[in-house]
Amino acid sequence: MNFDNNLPIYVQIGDYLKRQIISGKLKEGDKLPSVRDTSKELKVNPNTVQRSYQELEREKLVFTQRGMGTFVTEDKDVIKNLKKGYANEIIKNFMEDMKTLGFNSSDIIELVYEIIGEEK
Amino acid sequence: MLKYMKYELKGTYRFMLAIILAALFATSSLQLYGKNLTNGNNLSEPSVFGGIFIGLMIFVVFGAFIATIFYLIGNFRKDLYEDRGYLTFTLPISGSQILGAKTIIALMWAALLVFSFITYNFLLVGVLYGEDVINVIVEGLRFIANNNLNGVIIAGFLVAIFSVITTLLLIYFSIALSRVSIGNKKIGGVWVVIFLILNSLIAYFSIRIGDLIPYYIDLTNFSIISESDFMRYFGYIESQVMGHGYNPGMVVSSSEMIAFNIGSLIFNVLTTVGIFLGTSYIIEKKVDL
Amino acid sequence: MELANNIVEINNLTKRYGNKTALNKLNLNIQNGKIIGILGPNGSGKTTLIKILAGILRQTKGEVIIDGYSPGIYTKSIVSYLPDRNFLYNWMNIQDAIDMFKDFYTDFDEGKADELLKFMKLDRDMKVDGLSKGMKEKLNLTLVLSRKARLYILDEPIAGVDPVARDQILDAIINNYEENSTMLITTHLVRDMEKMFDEVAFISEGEIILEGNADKLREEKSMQIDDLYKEIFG
Repeated sequence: MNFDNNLPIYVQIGDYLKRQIISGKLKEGDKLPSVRDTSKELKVNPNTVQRSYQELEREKLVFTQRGMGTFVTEDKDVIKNLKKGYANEIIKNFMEDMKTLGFNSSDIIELVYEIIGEEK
Repeated sequence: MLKYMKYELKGTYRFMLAIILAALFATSSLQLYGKNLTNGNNLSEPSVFGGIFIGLMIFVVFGAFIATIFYLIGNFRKDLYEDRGYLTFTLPISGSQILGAKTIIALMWAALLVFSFITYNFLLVGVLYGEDVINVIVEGLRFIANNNLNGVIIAGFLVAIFSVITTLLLIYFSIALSRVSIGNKKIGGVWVVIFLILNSLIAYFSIRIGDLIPYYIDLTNFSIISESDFMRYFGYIESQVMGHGYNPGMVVSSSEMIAFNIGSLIFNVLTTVGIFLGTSYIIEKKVDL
Repeated sequence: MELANNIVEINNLTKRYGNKTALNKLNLNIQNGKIIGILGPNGSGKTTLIKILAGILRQTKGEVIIDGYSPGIYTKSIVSYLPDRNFLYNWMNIQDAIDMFKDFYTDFDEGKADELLKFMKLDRDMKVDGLSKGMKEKLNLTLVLSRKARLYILDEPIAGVDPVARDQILDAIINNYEENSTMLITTHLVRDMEKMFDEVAFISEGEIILEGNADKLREEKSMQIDDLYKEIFG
C-alpha cells in the first residue's frame, strides 16, 4: 500500500480498513489484525495504526474487547451506511466529472443504462 | 575492564603472535648461521649471500621490536582517529577502564615479546652449544644468589617496568592531548613533540624535587638512607659523579643496594597516576569524534 | 507536553567548530514512546546533534538531558546508537561483534539478533572486513536493534544502500520497534521514511525550524512530509 496522497496517514489506513470491511474481506464480527501486525504489513509506525483503530472505533465500525483485540462491528446497519457513504462519494465524483463533459442528469442515466445493457 | 581487555586481546593477538614468531625465526636463523661459521674451531668467512642474510635477519629482529612499539601506540591512536572509536566510545564504560585495558594488554605483549625472545635464545644456545653454555648461565645465576643480588635485580626490574608504564602512559597522554587540542589527522605527529616536552619537564622536576628532599629509600631492605650515608658507601667524589652536583641522583645502586630518592619517587608515582587519570578524563569527556 | 514524559530534553544547544556554528541554540524535546524524524539536508547539523546525544561529541553551550542524565556512561547503557559509518572493529567477524554487544549491553537480546541476522541473510562467521557497504549497514542495524534500549538513535540508516537493502532495513526498523521505547532517526530521504514517523523536526543551519506531529503537519499543510521537505529545502 502506498501512502502517496496528502491526507494524514491514519486517515489513509482507516480508509484501507473500511474498504476491506465493505468488500467483505473483513466480515461482521471478524477480528482485525493486531496493531503490531498491521504496522508490520503496511510498514507504518504502530502509533499511527493505533490512531486509525481509535478513529474507526469512534465511528462505531469496530469495537475493542479488553485483552481480546479489535473486532468489526456486528451491526449490519453501520456497515450498510458505510457502504452507502462510499457509494455516494463515488457517484458524486462521477456526476461532477460527467457534468464538466457537458452531460446532464438524464443523459447520464441513459448512458449508464446503455453500458449496463452491454455488460449483460 | 576485563571485558574490554578480552576484545583488546582478540584484536591484537594475530599481529603480535606473527611479530613474535618472526623475531624468533630471525634469531634462530642468526644463531644457526653463527654456529655454522664457527664450526669446529675454525672461523670461516661469511659469503656475500650470508652477509645479506645476516643483515636481513638482524633487521627483522629489530623491526619486530620497533613494529611492536608502533603497533601498540597505533592501537590506542586508532580509537581516537578512526571509525572504530564510534564503538569504543559509545560502550557504557569509563575512560579509565578503556585506558587501563589498553595499557595492560600493551604491556603484556611487550613483556611477552621480550621474555619469549630472551628465553628462546637461552634455550637455543643450550641446544646448539650443549651443556657448557647452560652451565655458564647457571653459574651466573648462582653468583647472583650467593652475593645477595636478588634484591638489586628485582628492584631494578621493577624500576624498568615502572618506567615502561610511565613512558607508555605519557605517550597515550600526548596522543590524547594532541587529539583534543588540534584534532587534525594530517598533523597527528604533533604528539611526538608533546611527548618530548612533557618527558623533559617530568625529568627536570623529578631532579629538582630530588634536590629538595635528599633522602633515599633502599628497596632491598626498605631502609631510609640520608645523603651523608652515601659518603660511607661511595665517598664524596663518586656521589658527585653519579648524580647531579652534590646530589647523588634519583637512583643509586651498588652490588648491595638500590636506592631511590624519596622525593623523586613520590613525584614520579604521582605523575604517573596523574597522567593515567588525565588521559582517562580526556578520552571520556573531551574527545570529539 | 508533560515534562516527565520527555526521554530527551535539549535546551539552547550550541556547537561551534572554530568559527563555524554547527548547532545554534537548538531546542528540542522528545516524548517517550515516539518515533521522531530529524529531517534536513547534509550539513544542517543532524549528525552533530546525534553525536552529542550519543556522548561522543561535546557541546559548546547548552544542555542535553537523556532520561534525567547528561550524556555519559549511564546514557550510553540505555541508548542504542547507529552511527553513519561502520563502527565495528575490522578484525571482527559477526560472532565477535555479537559477543561484544552481549558483554557490554545488558539489554542485548541474542534471540532477536538471530532473527535479524536470518532476515538480513547474514551469517555469524562472516568477516566484518569482507562485507559490502549495504551488508555492513544491515549488520550494524541488526546489532543496534537487537538491544531493548530506551532510546534508539539511527543516523541516516538508509543512506547509500541499494533499494532492496533499503526495504529490508525499513522493515527491520518497523518490525523491531518496541512500543515503549523511543526512536530518533535522521534522514534526508524523507519519501522512503515518512510513514514511520510520529513526529518530525526540520533542522536547518543548526536550528529546528519546524516541528510537530507528522499527520497533523500533513493535514495542516495538506501535503506530504516529503513535499513539505522539498518546499522548505528545495
